[in-house]
Amino acid sequence: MARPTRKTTRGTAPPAEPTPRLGVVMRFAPQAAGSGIRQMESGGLRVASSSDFRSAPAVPNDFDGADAQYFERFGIAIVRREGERLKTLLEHAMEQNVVTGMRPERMYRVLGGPSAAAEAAAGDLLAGAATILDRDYLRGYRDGVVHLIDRLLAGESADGTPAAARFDESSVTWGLEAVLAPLSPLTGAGIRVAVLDTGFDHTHPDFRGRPITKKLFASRSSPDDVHGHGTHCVGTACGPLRPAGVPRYGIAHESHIFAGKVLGDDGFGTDRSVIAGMDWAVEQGCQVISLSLGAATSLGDQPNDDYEQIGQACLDAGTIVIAASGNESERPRVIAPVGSPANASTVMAVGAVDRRFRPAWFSCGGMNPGQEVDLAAPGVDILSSLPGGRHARFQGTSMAAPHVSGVAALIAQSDPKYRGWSLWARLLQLVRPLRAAARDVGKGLLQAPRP
Amino acid sequence: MANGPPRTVDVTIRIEKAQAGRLEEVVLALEASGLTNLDVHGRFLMVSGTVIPERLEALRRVDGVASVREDRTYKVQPPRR
Repeated sequence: MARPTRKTTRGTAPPAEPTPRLGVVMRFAPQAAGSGIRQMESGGLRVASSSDFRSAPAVPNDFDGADAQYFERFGIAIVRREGERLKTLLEHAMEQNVVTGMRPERMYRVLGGPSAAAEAAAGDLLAGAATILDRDYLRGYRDGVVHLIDRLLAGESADGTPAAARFDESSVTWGLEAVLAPLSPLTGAGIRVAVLDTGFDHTHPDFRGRPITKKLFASRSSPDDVHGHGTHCVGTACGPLRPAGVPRYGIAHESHIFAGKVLGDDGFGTDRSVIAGMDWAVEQGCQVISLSLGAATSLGDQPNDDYEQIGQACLDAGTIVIAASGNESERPRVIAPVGSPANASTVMAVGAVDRRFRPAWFSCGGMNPGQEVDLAAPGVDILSSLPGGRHARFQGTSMAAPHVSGVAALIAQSDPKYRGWSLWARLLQLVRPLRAAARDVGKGLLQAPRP
Repeated sequence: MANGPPRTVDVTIRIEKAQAGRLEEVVLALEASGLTNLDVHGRFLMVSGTVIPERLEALRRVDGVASVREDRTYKVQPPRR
């Protein structure tokens, strides 16, 4: 472990220090930090530990003269001394998997400052009395804009991908590829995904051998998926890894499917059946509820207090509720507000994008305050299962929501701490920003966790 | 002259969270005020039921009730080809 450094008393506040020379930040493999520190010390480096300064009035920026500072809680060390010896030491440590990553130390600066108006009022910023920081910022901004325009003119979309269709669906649907599902070793095993919809054809060959639980809630309906929509949504969220004869179309391929039929054979249902289905899903221990259903709202509508309360109770119980944002738009002429129950703040609202990551023409937007789209997922030309062993391509925010539900199941499998509120947070942390407006795509495009 | 069966509406009733400890009482009071065909979802503090429209106000006046809303219809978001 690190040797304690000499104690110094620095009075009430440290004197202003010159900016330290920046070094290298190293990340240790879990459990390997101890041997990593020992290697550095036997290599002649003096290592200070963050615990050495716990009771000091101030933590010195220069590590009180040590060559390296070790932060035990984070498993990282910042090494300030250079030299060939250090380089060999670090290479050795990486070969042994003691150190898993290295990067140069960064200088951070404040992001606040005089308002833009005040700066603009200062006249010709580049040639005038602006500080070095202002000039650098403006040059960087200009370069970024120029680069973006160059790429757009060259036919790329703003997120760096070529504008032409770039998904070939030879082995996996474009929707799965776009959300990085094929890269993930996660399967949804052990996770219970409730799809509350028109039911599910559990006899479909693609789902042979899967754990499936079904329950009927809609009135005046058969227990089967007559409509077909439910089987399509279950397919996207939970479809198999290697379906025969079609590309892979499902994300959480080892999850336990809970198909609640809350919509009738005609595709319609009411609050009674939807709420009963949600209560059942929570009672059954489902970590994810997928709702590819909605009722239209109008501009000026208030948020949905009932589903605010229900959504919160679900999150508190460790169940995330994911809903389609609605298909009432006719873009570009009309952007309709997010429908119910997606418009509740405790229900995750999913917008639909096409292969170029543009908002689908039908996708609702955050037109009423507090009733936002949270994120976007593929919802155009989506291949999935249909009753009777068939497959078909559908479009709708109905197709986008189960992409999110499938990825939520992967995240939930990766760590038992990802439940309810924390699962919500983790989904949004992984999202990839898009050029489209947040009103339409929320924080951005759904992404599965990378291995 | 025989009338047909009275018109009824399906309603979704939200119970105030502060009343969670009194759920049983609130449900009894709703039934006494004319609510039938109840589904009680204690986890959500929500009650689904059926009532004749003339009794809607009586339901709203039950102590512990936050709101009484006629059921909305939901549909698939739909498979447009």
